[in-house]
Amino acid sequence: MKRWGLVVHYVATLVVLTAVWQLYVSVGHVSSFLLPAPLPVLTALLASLRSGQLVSATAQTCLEILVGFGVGSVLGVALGALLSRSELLRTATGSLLLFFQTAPKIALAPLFILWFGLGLLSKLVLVVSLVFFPAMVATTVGISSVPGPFVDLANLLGLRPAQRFFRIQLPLALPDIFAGLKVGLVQAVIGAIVAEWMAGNAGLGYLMVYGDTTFDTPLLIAAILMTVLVSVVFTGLLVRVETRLLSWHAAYAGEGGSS
Amino acid sequence: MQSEALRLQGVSKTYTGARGSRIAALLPTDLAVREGEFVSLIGPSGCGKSTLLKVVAGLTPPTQGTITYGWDRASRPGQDIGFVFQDPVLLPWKNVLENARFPLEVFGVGREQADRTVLELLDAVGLGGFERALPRELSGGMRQRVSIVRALAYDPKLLLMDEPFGALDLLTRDLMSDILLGLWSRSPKTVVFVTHSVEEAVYLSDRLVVMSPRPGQVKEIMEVDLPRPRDPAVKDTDGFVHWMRRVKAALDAQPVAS
Ligand SMILES: Nc1ncnc2c1ncn2[C@@H]1O[C@H](COP(=O)(O)OP(=O)(O)OP(=O)(O)O)[C@@H](O)[C@H]1O
Ligand SMILES: [Mg+2]
Repeated sequence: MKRWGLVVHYVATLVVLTAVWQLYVSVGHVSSFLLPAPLPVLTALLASLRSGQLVSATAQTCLEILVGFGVGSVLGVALGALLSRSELLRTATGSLLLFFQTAPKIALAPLFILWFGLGLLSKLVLVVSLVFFPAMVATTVGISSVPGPFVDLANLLGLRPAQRFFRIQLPLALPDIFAGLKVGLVQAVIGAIVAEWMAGNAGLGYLMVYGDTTFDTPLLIAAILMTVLVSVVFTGLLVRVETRLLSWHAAYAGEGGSS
Repeated sequence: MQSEALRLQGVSKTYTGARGSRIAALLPTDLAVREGEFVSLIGPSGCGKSTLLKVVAGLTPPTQGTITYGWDRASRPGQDIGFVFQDPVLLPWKNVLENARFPLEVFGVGREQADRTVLELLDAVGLGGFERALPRELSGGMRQRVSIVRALAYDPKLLLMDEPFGALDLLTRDLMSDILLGLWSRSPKTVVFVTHSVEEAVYLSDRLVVMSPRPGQVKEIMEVDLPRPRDPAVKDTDGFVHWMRRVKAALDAQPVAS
């Protein structure tokens, strides 16, 4: 019942927004080049869906986000775990990591394109580099905030490094890690779109540039709407995984527990 | 004469604080514990009781001194000492059964045998039927019982308990004491038990170690000769009241000049 209420809520919001949009365009006599009315956009959306243009662009962008996010978060969590194990490793890599962490990765995008070409690889590298750091930092924070008594328990039972990580540290650090992954996911969407803007001939970012340069504003807006949708769906999926995995956690209790 | 389970010789601990300051937590301490003996440590807050237990468990190295165990520690690393912390320290995503058998799982004991051992112990502490409950669905006393079962599940040579009932209300404390006595009479184990409660210490112990305020030091050791097995009725006897008075006097006495 609650779920249907939510759907009604979303649909109502959408209807109101569209109405305001239509009203603004017709009352304000806005040029259709600057802001086309809802109907032409919908037509463009349907046409580009039918032609397969939008579908393949969406698939391309989703692939970049999915693979880049997956690889970036696994690498970030793994390195975060290694760093929290070894003081030596921390001091040895500290300044190097800080350099790359603070460097604005978007500014490195042209360099990545130069190094890794115009194709998929350069986009993946950018997305991975954007997801990696929040995941790594969140993991080290999560592991270092494991309460002392749990560390004592692990030491008492003589857990091996892998047991210690998978059975104690990782589960206890999950709330922090997911906070980092959510930041990483937002970055991943931005990274994929920006990389497609800059180079290549596929993806939603490319479709935006194409719509822009061919004065096809409805197509541009269709691509933007699709990007928002992709972003919302991925975030929703991540939150679902989080609630599922953390159903034991007091802050998530009541949700996901019954499913 | 029973054999010795544990001997501390000149064991001391000095922590190095945040800014390199040195905190003497435990002055050189000698203590011997007989096999199967129930020894309590009692003393004011900050006198190094937790520190002593951690040193004995190998969780932190002593600054000086030696610890001798009555068995070969290397033969079963990690499996020879059970530790019940002040907080239950249960893994919140594991249910009661999974928490209690966690050490057995880590040590590679087969699932079937582990479950049999753990279920029997859970029954003994009155937690039969709660195997599938998550820690957050239990009361504080129930959680602490799970933690005791977890420490006993692998049949350690030595059981260390650091104010295990400190966070519980008085009625629950009494109940837990009796549960602990029940477990202990089932299979007498060497226990070193830290508490703030004089009554608890007298009720449970064979021997009682009174410690002086920080830096900690053994002030007096008393042999509590109340008959065993004990039950709540013993608390009304003159003997019990006498011991309560003696321990309180020892705690209140001015620290010996050194
Ligand atoms: N890891 C640590 N680093 C620095 N100082 C510590 C550390 N652990 C304990 N201490 C200090 O050592 C002293 C003894 O602490 P300990 O925890 O052993 O006392 P306690 O007798 O268990 O006290 P309580 O009854 O309150 O639990 C205290 O002054 C404490 O501040
Ligand atoms: Mg203590």
